[in-house]
Amino acid sequence: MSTETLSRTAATTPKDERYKVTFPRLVKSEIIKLTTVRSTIWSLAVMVFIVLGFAALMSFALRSQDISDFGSELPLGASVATFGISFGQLVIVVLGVISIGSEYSTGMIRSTLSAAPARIPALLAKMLVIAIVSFVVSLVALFAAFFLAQAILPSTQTASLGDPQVLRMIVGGALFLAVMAMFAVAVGAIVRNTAAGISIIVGLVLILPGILVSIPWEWVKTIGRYLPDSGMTVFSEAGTMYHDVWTGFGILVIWTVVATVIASVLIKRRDA
Amino acid sequence: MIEVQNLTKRYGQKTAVDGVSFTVRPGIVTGFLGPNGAGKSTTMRAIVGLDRPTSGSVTVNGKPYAQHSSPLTQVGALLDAKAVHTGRSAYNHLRAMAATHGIPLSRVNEVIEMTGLESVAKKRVGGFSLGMGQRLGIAVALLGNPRTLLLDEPVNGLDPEGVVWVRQLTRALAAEGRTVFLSSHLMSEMAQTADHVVVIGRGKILADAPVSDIVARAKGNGVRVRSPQAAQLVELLRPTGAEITSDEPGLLYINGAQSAQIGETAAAAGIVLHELSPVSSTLEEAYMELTADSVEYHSATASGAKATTTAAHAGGTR
Repeated sequence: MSTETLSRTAATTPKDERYKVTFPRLVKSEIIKLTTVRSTIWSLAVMVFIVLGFAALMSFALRSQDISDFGSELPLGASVATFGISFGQLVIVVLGVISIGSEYSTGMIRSTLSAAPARIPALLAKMLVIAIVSFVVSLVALFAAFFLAQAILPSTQTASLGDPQVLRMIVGGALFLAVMAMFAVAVGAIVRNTAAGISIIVGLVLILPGILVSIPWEWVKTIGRYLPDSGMTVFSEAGTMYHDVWTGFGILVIWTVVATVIASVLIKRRDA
Repeated sequence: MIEVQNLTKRYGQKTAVDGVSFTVRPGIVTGFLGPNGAGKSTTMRAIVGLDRPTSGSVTVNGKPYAQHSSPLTQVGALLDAKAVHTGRSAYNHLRAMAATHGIPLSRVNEVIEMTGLESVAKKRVGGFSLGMGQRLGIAVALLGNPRTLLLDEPVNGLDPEGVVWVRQLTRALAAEGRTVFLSSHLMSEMAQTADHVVVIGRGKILADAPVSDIVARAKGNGVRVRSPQAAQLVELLRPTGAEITSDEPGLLYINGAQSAQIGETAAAAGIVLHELSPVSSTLEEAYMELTADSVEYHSATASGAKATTTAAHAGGTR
């Protein structure tokens, strides 16, 4: 279709053909966008600080106590490193929502969508970049937190990377934060507003699970068990949560896919 | 080349653009005029695919904007000087826009230089004045060296030097064979810049003609008369066949009679005149006439200058 029309428009120079919109180019543009606003640097720095801080805090607290039976099959050194994720996810979620919400609040979205009028690739490029950046930074922070914890903990509680589940929990933590970040971008794209997006996700992830599970109706409890926070299984010790490791993570992935599909349909259909 | 065919855009109940059709040709500067809320921005947003038409179609260089594989080299658009993240520098904004098309950094530096943004390029856009924001918007529009330029109120907020620069730039771009479509509320500016004008009011096209035609279609040269006895003067002048308009009590606009003749008629009848001045019609007045029609719900007729009210109406307003 395009070749026929292009050959007809005689004034199209070969030079124009070099400058096509491609997905890798959209990814590059999103990397530039993400790294040239201060909120990104601040959010990621705070996230790293939280993960390391909680690992250190927990390790010191455990060292000063004599814990013989933790009710776990794993050494404490394994779970201490991932302790900060529950708090760090808030920062990652904010980063994800802001990355798209700020485009709507500043009007940048109109520049973005006029450069990439197919729209959905631009949204997916943004989600991919946010996910990769979140994954890499979280992974580095979690490994650092792991080694920091081992340095502080008493030798009876230390773990090594080779221990069962340890590597899965650390990489799983980074994976969880990366998918959470994508979910946040998708929700931000649906509501087109930073404050609303953050409120919705905080409600879904932090507030709703606690409320629903405490309501004495079984069907409400069941709903409460299928919220996005089910994905926390991926960085938790196996068997300690309601779902097994990959089922729980799968629930978060499904939430993210559904949100992405809705966001894609809406961004394509709505006026910018 | 921009082709707009039967474009209609409704926002809920409100019809912003109502069955508009026109063509913007390459090689000339085409102006887009209309009062606030007439549908200018909506039409321009539809051209670059930001707003979906309720019905009708818009193509740029033969295809809908969204179907171009390299949209920034097809159309450079300045639609809203604020379509920039306020926390990012102008340089980084241009870099991010260029990256989507693989446009090299050398071109980014080139458009920064062309638009005179060198000294502020590394500063965050949030601190920009309206004029600097406009220059950045124009820089983005030029980034892809596009064949078609779409500029919504490009001189808004620019200093006199900037206004002259935009005028020269748009004329130069058109002279290179590009399609240039710009809206402005400054009619005098349009008279100096545009070759062809599309006038829109209440979402409908009121005129689509060369600038010279629009001016010629206007009332032409006339005489402005201010008098406390205006109604009396109207009665005396009516038999001469002069066309008389009144916008406010005591103020007449007379077409088809010389000021000497009017003065003598008044003197003979002992009518006091406070003002008697010949005025030549400008594009601005021609435009006011055209849009007055759409604003006042007058039944539109084929001849564009029908907004002139009659002498009877002038008497009636007193």
